[in-house]
Amino acid sequence: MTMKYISSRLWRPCRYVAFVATVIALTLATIPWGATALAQNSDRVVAVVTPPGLETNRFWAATSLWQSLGQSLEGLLEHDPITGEYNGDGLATSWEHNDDFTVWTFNLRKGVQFHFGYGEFTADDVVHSYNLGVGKSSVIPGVDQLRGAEVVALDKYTVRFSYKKPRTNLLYLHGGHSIMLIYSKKQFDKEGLEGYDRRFAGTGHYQFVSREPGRVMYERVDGHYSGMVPDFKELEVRFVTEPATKLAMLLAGEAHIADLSRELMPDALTAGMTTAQSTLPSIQTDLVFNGLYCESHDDRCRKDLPWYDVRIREAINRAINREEMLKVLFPSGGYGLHARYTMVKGNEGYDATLEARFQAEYGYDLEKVKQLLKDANYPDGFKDPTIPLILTPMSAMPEVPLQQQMVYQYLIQAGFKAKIVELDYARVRKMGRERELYMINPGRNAPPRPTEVAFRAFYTNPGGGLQGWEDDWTASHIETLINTVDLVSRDKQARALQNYLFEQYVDIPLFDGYTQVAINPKVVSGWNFPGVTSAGYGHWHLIKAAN
Amino acid sequence: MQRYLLYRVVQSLVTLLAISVIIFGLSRLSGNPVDALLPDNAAPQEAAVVMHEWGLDRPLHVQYFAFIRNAVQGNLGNSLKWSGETALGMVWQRLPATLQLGGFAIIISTLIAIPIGVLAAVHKGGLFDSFGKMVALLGQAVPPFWLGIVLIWVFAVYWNVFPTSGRGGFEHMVMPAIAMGWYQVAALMRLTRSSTLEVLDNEYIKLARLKGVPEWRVIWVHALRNAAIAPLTYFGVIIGYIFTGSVVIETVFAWPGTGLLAIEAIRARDYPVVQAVVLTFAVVFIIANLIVDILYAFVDPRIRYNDNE
Repeated sequence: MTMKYISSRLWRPCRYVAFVATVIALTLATIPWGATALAQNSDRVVAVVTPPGLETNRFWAATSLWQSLGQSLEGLLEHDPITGEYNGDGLATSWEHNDDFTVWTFNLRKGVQFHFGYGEFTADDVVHSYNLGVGKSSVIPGVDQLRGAEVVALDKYTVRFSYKKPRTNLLYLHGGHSIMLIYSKKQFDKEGLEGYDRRFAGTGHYQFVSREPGRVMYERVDGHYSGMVPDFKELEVRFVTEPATKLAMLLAGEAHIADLSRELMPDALTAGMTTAQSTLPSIQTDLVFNGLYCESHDDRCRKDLPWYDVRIREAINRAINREEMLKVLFPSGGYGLHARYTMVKGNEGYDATLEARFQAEYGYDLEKVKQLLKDANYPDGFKDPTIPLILTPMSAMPEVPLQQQMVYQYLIQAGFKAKIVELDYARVRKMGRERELYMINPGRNAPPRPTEVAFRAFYTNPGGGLQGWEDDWTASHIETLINTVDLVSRDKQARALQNYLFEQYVDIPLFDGYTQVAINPKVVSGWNFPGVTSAGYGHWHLIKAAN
Repeated sequence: MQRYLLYRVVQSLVTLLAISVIIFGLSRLSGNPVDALLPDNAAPQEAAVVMHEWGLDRPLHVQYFAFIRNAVQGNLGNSLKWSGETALGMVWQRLPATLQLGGFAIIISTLIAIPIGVLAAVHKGGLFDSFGKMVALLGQAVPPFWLGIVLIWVFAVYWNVFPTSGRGGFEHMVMPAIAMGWYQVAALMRLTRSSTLEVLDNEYIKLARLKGVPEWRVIWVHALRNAAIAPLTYFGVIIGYIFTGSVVIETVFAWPGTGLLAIEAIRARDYPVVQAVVLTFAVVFIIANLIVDILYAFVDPRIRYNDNE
C-alpha cells in the first residue's frame, strides 16, 4: 500500500512529458514526410495566381477568366507572342471586311480537333460560341460591342458577322482582352452547359483535366494543329489570395510561377527567383479628374471645381514627380511612363510627337506650378480650392494607397490645398455611375485597348465610374470617329482627339505596367507572352522548362 | 428534460430569426452588389436592369420577407457572383472542408490544452504551471493570421516538412489546424487549470487519496471528470470561434472552405452567399451549444434537467 502510494506520487512531470512526446511522435509518424518534395513532378509546372472573380468553366460568366481557361480554350485570333499582333496562326487563318466595316468574314482553319473526341472545329462552333458570349448573363468586357451581329456559317469553314453599325475594332473583340472563346457545339448539344462544367473541350495546347476550389489541372495535348509541343506535360493553376502564401509556395518549390504583388517581388528575387514579363504593357494607370461632366446638355458640370480650370489641371500634372514615384512604388522595375492612356503604338491616332512633348509639358516643374497657380488665382479664386484625392484599396494594385499618398504630398509641397478621401472602390463606382464623383480618382488601371474603344469607355456620356473629361468638342469628335470607316480619316480624327485631350490635360497619366511573374529558374527558364489578355497572361504553352 | 429541450429549440429558432434580421440588414448596409460586380464602365441603365433582375430594386421589407419565406423552404437564393449556383449549394460544397479543418483543430486544442491545464493545476507554482502560463500568454496574444504565416515560413519554406497551403492529405491540415486552435489552447488550458484546482480541494479527492487510489487515477479519472464541466461548456464557444476563425485561417492557407467562401462573397457583396454562410455558422453554433448543454447533464450527475425545472 505504502509502495503503491509512493509510486503514484512519483508520477512526475517527466512522465507526462514522455507521454505527450510519444503521442506527438506517433502523430508525426503518420505524416508522409517529404510529400511536398515528392509532389514536385518534373513534368508538371504549377502557377499560383490571384483568384479570378469566379471559378467556373463558363467564360462569359466573369470578366477575368483568361488565366484559368485560356490554357485550353482559344479565340478566333492568335497573337504574336512578342509583338502582340493578330496573326493567322490561330483558329481563323484569315479575315476580311467590307468597306464600311459592318460585315466581317473569317476563314477558319481546317482539321482542328476539339479535345476528348468532340470532332472537328467548324463554323457552327463559332456561331454557338458567339451566342454564348453575348447571352443575357454575359459580363465579358466589351460585350455590348460584340452584340448585335447576325452570325452565319457560310460553309463549314467560313463564318460571317454582319452588324448594322460599323465595327472597326471587331478583331479586338475576338483577340483582345475582351475575347470571345470557342466552345464545342457538339459537346453542348450532347451534354449542355453541365457538360462544360464537368469537362469542357477546347482546342488549345492543353486540355482540361479537373477543377476543384482553388485549383485547375490541365494536361498537354499531343498533335496540336500548330505543331508546337509544350515543354510541360501537366499544367496546374492554383488560386491563392494571400500574397505571403504565394511567395511561400514559390520558395518552398510547390509553385514554379507566381503572380506576386510588387511589394513581395524583391523578396523573391533575393531568394534566387527570376521574373518573366509581358512583352507589351498590360495595364496603364492614370488618375482621373472626375466630375467634369461638361457637355452643354449636362447640368452636373461643376465650373467651380478647381480642376475645371485647365491651368490647375496642368499644375497638378506638373506637381507630380513621376520618376521618383516609379522608383518608390516599383523598385523591381516592370513599369514605365506613358504620355496618354490611349497612346499605344499601332493604335489609331498614335502620335509620337506627344511622347516627345510629354516631359516638357507634363514634367515635374515646381516653378511652373507656382506660375500657373498665380495665373489661375489659386486658392483665392475658388470657392473651395481643396483637391480631394480618393484613397481606395484596389485588387491586385497594392501600390495604390501609397501612390495616392505620394500624390497628396506632391500637391501639398507645390502649394495646393488637398485632402485624402478614403472610399471603398464599389462606392467610387456607384458615385461615378450616378455622376456624383467630384474627386481625383485612381481607378483607371486598365489594359491598353484600341483608341475608339478607350474613347467610348472614358470620354463619352453615359459611362461608368471612370468617367472624367466630357465636353461638346470631344463628344462630337468621338461620334464622328465611331461613324467614320475610312481608315485614313479615322486616323486623322483619332490623332486630333489625342492632341486635344493631351493639350487639355484631361487626365493625370502615370505609368505603363507590364505583367510580371516570379519564376523558379530551376524549373522554368522563361515565358514569352504579350500581355494583351484580360489577366495579362497568355501563351501558356510557351512556358519553357529549365532542363 | 423534454420540456427543457423544447424550450431550447424554440429559443434557438428565435435566435436564428434575430440573426437573419441582423445579417440581412448588415449586408444591405455594406452597399449594393451591383457596384462591386458590374464593370467600371457599365452604364446606369445596365445597373438598373441587373438590380431589377436580382430583386434589389424592391423595398427592403419586401426583400426580407421574400428571403425568410424562401429560407424556410431551404432556399437561400442564388449566388450573385457564382452564376448558376445556389447560395446554400455553395456553402454545402465548402462546408466539409471547414468541418474537417475545424474538427482537427478542436482535437489538437484538446489534446494539448487539457493535459497541460491539469498538470499546471497539479503542479501549481511549478514548472508546468509556468509553462502553462507562457502558453496561455502566447495563445491569447498571438494573432492567428500571424501565427499561420510564421508556421508556413518555418515549416514549409525553411524546413519543407509541411505543404504551405491548399487542401489535400493529412499533412495539409496540420499547420492550419494549429493556427486555428492555438488561441483555444490558451483559453481551454486556463479554464481546465482553474476548475481542476477547485476540484482538487474537494473532500472526495482527499478521501480517494486516503483510500489509496493511485494518484494518476485520482487526477485523471476522479478529478478530471468533474473538472471537465467548465471546459465542456466552453466547447460551445470554441466551435463558434472555429467557424469565425476559419475566415482568416482559410485565407492564409488557401483552404477551400466556408471561411474563404465568406471572404470572397463579402468582397463581391454577394448577399445570398454571405447570408447562407452566416446562417449556417449560426445553425452549427446553436446546435453545438445545445449538444453541450445536453452533455452537461450526463457528465455531472448533480445536474439534471427535469420537467419541473
